[in-house]
Amino acid sequence: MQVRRDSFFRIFQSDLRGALQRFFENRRGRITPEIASDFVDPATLERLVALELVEFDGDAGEYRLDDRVERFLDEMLGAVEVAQADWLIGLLEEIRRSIEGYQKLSDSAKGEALLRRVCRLLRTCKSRIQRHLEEVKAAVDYDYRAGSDYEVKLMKLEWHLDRAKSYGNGIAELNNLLRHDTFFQVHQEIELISLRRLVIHRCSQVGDALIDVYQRIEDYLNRVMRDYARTRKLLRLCGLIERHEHLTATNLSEVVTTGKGPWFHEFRLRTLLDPALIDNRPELLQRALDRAGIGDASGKTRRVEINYEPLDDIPPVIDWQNVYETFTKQREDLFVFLARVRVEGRPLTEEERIDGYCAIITNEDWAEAWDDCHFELAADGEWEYAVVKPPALLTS
Amino acid sequence: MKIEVPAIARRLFTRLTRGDNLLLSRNGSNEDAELFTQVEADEGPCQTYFETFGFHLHKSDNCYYFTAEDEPQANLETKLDKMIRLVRLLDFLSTHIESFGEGQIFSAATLAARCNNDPKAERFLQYAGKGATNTDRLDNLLQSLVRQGYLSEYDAGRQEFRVLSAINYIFEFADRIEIPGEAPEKELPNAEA
Repeated sequence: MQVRRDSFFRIFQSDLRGALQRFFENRRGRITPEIASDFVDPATLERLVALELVEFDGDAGEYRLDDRVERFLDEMLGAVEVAQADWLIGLLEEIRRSIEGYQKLSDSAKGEALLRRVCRLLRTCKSRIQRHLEEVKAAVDYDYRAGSDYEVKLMKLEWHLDRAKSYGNGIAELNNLLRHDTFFQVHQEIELISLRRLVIHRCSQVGDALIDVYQRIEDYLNRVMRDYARTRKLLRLCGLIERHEHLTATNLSEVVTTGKGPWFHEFRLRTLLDPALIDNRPELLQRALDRAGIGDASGKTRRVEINYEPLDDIPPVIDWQNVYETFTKQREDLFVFLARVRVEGRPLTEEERIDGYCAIITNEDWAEAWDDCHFELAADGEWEYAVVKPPALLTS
Repeated sequence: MKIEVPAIARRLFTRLTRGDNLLLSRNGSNEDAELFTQVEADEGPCQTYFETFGFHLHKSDNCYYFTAEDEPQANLETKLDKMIRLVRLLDFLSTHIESFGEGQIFSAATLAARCNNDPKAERFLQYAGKGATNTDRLDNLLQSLVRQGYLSEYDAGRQEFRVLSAINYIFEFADRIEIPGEAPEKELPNAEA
């Protein structure tokens, strides 16, 4: 992804951005009026001074950024700069130079001084290596979370990745120097040996931690790129929707067809129980859950046996309050139907089946329907039953 | 068939099948976060267990939700309306909230200030929110998102909200939409050890 270098300076007017950026980049040097005229035309320079973004120091004869602006830009860029590992490269060079100097010297007193210098540099490395790693981590997190401009975030994170990698190379170089350089193998002073061992250990720890840092930065980069791409896509999608082109220009209908879950449906427990039942009869829901083996939260993991049946074969669960309506809707023989009915997940017992049957046929509505059939009734002890005569045989 | 019944089955089931909030976020309330951790540890058994009842326990990016085999077959037109609403909502939030995404905290007052005098935002609020003024509409919209579990109230006094992981569930739909001619972004490979 292409990232514009001037992203930091977008808060300023477009004609001032370039000049401010150049002033900021050269803030450590002396910007004489001649140099300033190379950066920017005289009119813009005057505007910068009038806006108090740049000040002219008459005594020193130089232009410099206003303190507040410089501090502000420093803070914006500070997190990036902290990740630079120039100090390690500098220290490595200095250690190498000291070793080289020591090897060339014949004067033992000067040699001692150089040896102490190497020890001092190693102590600096030891104390700073870990701290720098923490600073890199903090800077990466800060730059990922702060600000809203995706391009700025991407640019900062890419810088962090490059710099973390160069820091890793520096650490590997230091580790290599300490392990393999003949100077450290020849000199057996206790302080040097101890420092060498500690720094090697620290290098190995930091090297491992840096791999996590690389991964974290890449993860952040991927997230920012994804969010950026998504935001642009949403913007384009909204444009297509406004123009009613969303169905022809995108795969929206395909996504809609397969879309599932809470956004698209008023999803509720409805496979076994009516939604109204769940809302109005919580005790029935609890019983149903108990029957289904969905135990209390306090319970431990346990094993249950489930008679797994395809969903189509599971007969409806009957709410006893609504039993008549449910039963009259079926078209099969009532007693046979009752054998297949499940209440709260289990089949009816024989007793419940008979009770249910009797409850239905003694229901007033059912009785009226029954009366319309004009069946002949007979009694056998406590039982009353209908006598249904077979249809008359057709005779020619 | 003998299967393990996870100890959290009942809690998870009642949490994800009742009310308006049907998503369990990793960064939700303390109870939700705790339940999320437990479900994550017991994900396999939970999925197997609920499959037997016709429920699929889905894991999106840091959130869980159920789908059922017999979800009502809403007609395509209704679903399309909902998808368009989703796209507009995400566009609105991504445009007006800095780095809108999981974990982000934003202030309703700042959002309302950004919407003022923005015709596109005002049009969206008229389309999506209920109320007489834009502030009311925005307030209702945010409360509705809180009820559905996409946001949580972070600091009620300062009208601050936090974006919950559940937002990733609707982001997934946006990610699946393709606009021909738009090159997909290449992801960086993870650093090698």
